[in-house]
Amino acid sequence: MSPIIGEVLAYAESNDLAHLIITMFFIIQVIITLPIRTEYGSENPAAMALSEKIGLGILVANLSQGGLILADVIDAPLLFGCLHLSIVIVLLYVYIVFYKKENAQWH
Amino acid sequence: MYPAFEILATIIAFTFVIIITYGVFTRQRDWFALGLCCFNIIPVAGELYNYSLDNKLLHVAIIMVFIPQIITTLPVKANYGSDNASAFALGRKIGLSVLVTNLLHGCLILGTALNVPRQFGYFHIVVALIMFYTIVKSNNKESIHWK
Repeated sequence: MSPIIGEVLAYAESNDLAHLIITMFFIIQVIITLPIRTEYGSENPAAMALSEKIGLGILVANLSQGGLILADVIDAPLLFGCLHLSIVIVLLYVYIVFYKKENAQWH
Repeated sequence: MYPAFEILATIIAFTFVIIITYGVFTRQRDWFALGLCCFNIIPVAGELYNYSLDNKLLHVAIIMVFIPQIITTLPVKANYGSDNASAFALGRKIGLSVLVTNLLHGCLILGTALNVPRQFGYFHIVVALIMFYTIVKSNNKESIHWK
């Protein structure tokens, strides 16, 4: 949510469409990561396949956003780039440890 | 944009919209997801081309929006229906994100100077409408099963 506020403020200041697109990018991330009351594990391959895709999508989104901030392409404090990359590391951990395990179960 | 390039991209986009529509009406998830996934590649290719021309951040931002969309709409060999609540809820979230992406991007193309031909804006709106139809249908009918 925090990048949405930052980008909306940046758009209000500069009227640059890029900020609007980045806001859109994060709104989509908010939707895709909305918590839902479901429980599933490796016994439900369909749910696992879908959540794997969602996880990979969020990983790529944060990696690209973090990379662009750290490369100074996007005008945002470098700290936020580091935060995006730390989310990438967490997701990588989840991806490697959770999805590769046979009897994985989320609560 | 070169006219030949624009015509070719329009034909390809139209073909993918037809594939998406076919997938929805015949309830074949593979065709539906394949159409969506390939349709999402078109803005990435177009914006890469635009970025190579003017080096603007705007194009990178659009590419960033559509790459996760390509990943989340990748066809997977998973068969499920409304009886599988978890998969159904996750599928609906993906559908909602595709709807919002296409609706906002379509409106941006039609409403602002994004330097993208208008027909692509209409294609995005059509895809958003198809997703809206799918989500509404999935809410109304008790037992839905895709092939």
